[in-house]
Amino acid sequence: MSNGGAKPIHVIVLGGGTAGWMAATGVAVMLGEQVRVTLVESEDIGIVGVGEATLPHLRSFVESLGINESDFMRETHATYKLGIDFRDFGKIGDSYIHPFGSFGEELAGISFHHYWLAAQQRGDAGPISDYSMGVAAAVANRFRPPANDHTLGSAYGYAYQFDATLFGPYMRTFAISKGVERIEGKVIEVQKDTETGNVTTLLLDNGQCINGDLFVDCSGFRSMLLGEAVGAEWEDWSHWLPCDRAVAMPCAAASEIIEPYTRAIAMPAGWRWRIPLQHRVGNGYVYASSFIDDEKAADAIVAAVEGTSLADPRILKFRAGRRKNSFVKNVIGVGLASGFLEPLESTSIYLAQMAITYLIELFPKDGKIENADRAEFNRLVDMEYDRIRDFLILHYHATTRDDSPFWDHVRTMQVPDSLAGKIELWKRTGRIAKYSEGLFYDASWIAVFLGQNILPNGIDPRVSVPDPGGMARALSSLKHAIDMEVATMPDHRAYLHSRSERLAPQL
Amino acid sequence: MNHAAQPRELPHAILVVGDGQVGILTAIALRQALPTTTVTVIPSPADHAAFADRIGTAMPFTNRLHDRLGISEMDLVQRAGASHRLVTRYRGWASETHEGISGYGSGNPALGNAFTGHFEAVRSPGRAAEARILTPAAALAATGRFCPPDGDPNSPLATIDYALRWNVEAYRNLLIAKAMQLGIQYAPKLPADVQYSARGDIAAVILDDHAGAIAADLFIDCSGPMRWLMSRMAGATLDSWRENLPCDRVLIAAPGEPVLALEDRMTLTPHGWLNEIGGRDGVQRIFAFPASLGSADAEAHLIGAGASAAIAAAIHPGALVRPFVGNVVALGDAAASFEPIGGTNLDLAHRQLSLLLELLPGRNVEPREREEYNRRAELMASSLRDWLTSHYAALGMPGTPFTARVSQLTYSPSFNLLIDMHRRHGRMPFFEEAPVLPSEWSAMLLALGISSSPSAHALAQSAERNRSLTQQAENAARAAVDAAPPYGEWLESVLPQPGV
Ligand SMILES: Cc1cc2nc3c(=O)[nH]c(=O)nc-3n(C[C@H](O)[C@H](O)[C@H](O)COP(=O)(O)OP(=O)(O)OC[C@H]3O[C@@H](n4cnc5c(N)ncnc54)[C@H](O)[C@@H]3O)c2cc1C
Repeated sequence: MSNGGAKPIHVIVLGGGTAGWMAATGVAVMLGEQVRVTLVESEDIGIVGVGEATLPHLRSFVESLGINESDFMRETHATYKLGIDFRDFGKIGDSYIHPFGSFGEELAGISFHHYWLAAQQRGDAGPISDYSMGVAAAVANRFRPPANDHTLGSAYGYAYQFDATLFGPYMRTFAISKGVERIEGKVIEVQKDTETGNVTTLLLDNGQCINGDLFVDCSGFRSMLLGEAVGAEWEDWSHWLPCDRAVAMPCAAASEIIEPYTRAIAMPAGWRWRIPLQHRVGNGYVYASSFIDDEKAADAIVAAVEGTSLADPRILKFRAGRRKNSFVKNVIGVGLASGFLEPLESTSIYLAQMAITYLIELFPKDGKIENADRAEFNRLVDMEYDRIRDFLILHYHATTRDDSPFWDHVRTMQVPDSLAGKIELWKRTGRIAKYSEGLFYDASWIAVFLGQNILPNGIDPRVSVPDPGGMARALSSLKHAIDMEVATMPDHRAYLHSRSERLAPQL
Repeated sequence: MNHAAQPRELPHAILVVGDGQVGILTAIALRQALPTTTVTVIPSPADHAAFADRIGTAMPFTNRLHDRLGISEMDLVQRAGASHRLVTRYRGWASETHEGISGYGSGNPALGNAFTGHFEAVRSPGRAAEARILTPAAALAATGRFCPPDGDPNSPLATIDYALRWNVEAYRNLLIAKAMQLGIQYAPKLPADVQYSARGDIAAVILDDHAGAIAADLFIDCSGPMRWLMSRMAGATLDSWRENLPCDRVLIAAPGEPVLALEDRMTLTPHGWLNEIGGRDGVQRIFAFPASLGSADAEAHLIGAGASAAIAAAIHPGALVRPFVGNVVALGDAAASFEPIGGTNLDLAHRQLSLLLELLPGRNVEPREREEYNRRAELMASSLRDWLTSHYAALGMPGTPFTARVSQLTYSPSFNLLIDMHRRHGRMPFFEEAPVLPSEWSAMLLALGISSSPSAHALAQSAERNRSLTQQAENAARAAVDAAPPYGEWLESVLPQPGV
């Protein structure tokens, strides 16, 4: 539907990284003729260029824009991702996969893990990972898109692992085809209306002036509009999430195997990621600069990677936290400009996507922004950040590691009350506080609690009612069914290669 | 860590106070979950405002709970006079001639809010009453055709959700029979007093007539708004809803003539509202109003509608801040007492029961678990309060005594948020534990005549796409009508003795 000939609302997106191009595309495609979208980016400044592991939500974003999956995978050198393998977190030598999917099935209204815990005590059960399709497929390096029914073959989800330096450009081409105007140039000044405090104009280094109605700040860590121009306050979380740097270094794949999962390996002063793409492997060490210096961190990542390095180690700096408000005046922060949570659970691109979705839902139709819309946007964004924050902190806190000052710190630090309550509930009763909004639900919490050896003292009283022999048989037949199902799935690499449309040319 | 992860000790005994349809169903659910636990039910003094016990209807949630507890819908149809409500028709809320219809379920997710918004946008003002019927449920109700979906996901009736209404006494008898089969104990003695443990929990309930005492680990208060148990617990405090809801007096008429209809009615009057709930064994008529307006009009309405003697009940609208205190859990009207709109009192009771089953305590109550129960129950209650308040957000009858009373209400921040979002963006925010789906909520607001303007996203859809969605919706409604027999015929085909 046209907007009746009214002048379109001019949306200016500052920044051409992943967040900027996602925002520009989303707004342009979803709002059609009501908007005119201009994106300003500067090659001098460049993009952060990391952010390779995603969550399943990205699929619906890409799909709703009308992007073809194979196309997108080919252009970003993407592989499939079934979850994250966490190593050495609970203690050195541990490994568990946090899958996109759950463990077992609820029975008589009681979550599977209660039965599993009881059976485990009796020696009647294997590790919890035996009862998850997502984990079993990941461990076997197999992949096939989940079935669209209620069988075992549907009991997992998937996301992508892609080249972060290619995703933005891919979205750029797509956005421009949808009418987004791109301007190359560096913003050197931001002008505001003296009365309202709204941003009115961006001044570029080439003398160009860009006026707009609504400004989406995707300028990265600098947060040039939200943080600097309209002064959204920063809420710092580094006392809970002390990692403030990363040293990234891609390398060639050292073997033929392409794992359909990301690895997060705990390190003496943080952790490192390992993300297999079609043509290479992404690596990086996320660390706390107060516990290790840059050089040592770089040495550590160089020593850790398996394949030939493809670039020199590159250091990135950041802080954990978020803006207290992400929608202030006529500025909406999306991506790193709004906040940062370290990539331990690959949540950053999700957070950008979520902000874009809420912006579209709350978009000021007539160009007039109501306070209620800002408040609602900020409520939703805060809720998303806060819940992810607690979940990330758990990964550090749930440990017995005492081999380095970093782990001593995170093990003994005081966690947010909201998290302390959840841990206590789990420890006493084996229950997960229930939220239906936000990102991580019970299955994720269970994966991390159990994976990091936090076992509850008490579990649901009703699990002592069924006959243990029957339970043991049910568990073993579930494991058998999962193994059989996984055996019918193709190898991940073979599946990728089975259709050339999704393969990058150099392969 | 081998000492860890032991199942908690099972409760040895549970006492349910209140033997209405809430108390008995609660006992059944607990006994099924805990077959080794002694579950006892005792009556509580009669309470006219125990609506969850007195009114024979609930919402779709109850059907799921019944399924889980092995209470078959066919049994309710054959033995408890049950019939199906597909929609509620609101009359007179937005104007004297206003009519609006809303049903249940998530509708067609492909159509979504964007579609609702658009539907509103294309509908010209003043023509609302003749707007095309775009949902299968409304089409079925209008044509009097229906039979419950048979589980085939491809049936045109598959997406239709519905509520049941039934004969309270027959339903209760059916539950009693089931309770007896399950070995639930019944002590037909009223409670007289309680004994406390050293911790301040209840240790036992002492029965009237020197009939002894019943000790238990867990006590469930299903006594209605008198809160027989909770009123004896320090720490049970009431959050008053008097500022949020207008009605504090209710007349419930004796069941009237049988009415076989797929819709119920909610009619606004100058002094309150009249809810007419269809029923094979007699229509149930309920009139709610502010006591300050007097009951003359209420009586006139009920008599005008052909109703005979009515029971009057006073409500103190509000909810317990913490409905689980010590080892006592309040369910239904004992937890939250409010004007009885369309089966919501029993719906809330059943949702709380279901939450209790999910977080079922062991012999010893874990404080964290109790806190989690209270957190979620509180969210449930406050969303319900907002849902009830929605009825009064935009009354279109200026100058009536009821409108004057309603104008003094205060709205909660969450309510202001949702109504604003609905109006300006055609959007329903998500509320944790809300007892209605966002789609049901927005459909109800529209039925009440509270219009929404389309979101920017909806406006961006092409006219062509909107036309095709409208067409799809109309086709789905027509297919449902074609697939369903006249409701009376279906009933006759399943009832033991033909004839209704
Ligand atoms: C070490 C690390 C690992 C990560 N891993 C993951 C992961 O696995 N998964 C995940 O989801 N996320 C991850 N992230 C986060 C992810 O990288 C970002 O969320 C994502 O790339 C979005 O970044 P952005 O677009 O907000 O910012 P940037 O990529 O920094 O883009 C900023 C843009 O603004 C432009 N700009 C800035 N200032 C000006 C100016 N004055 N004038 C003109 N243009 C300007 C720049 O040119 C650039 O185009 C990771 C982040 C880090 C630091």
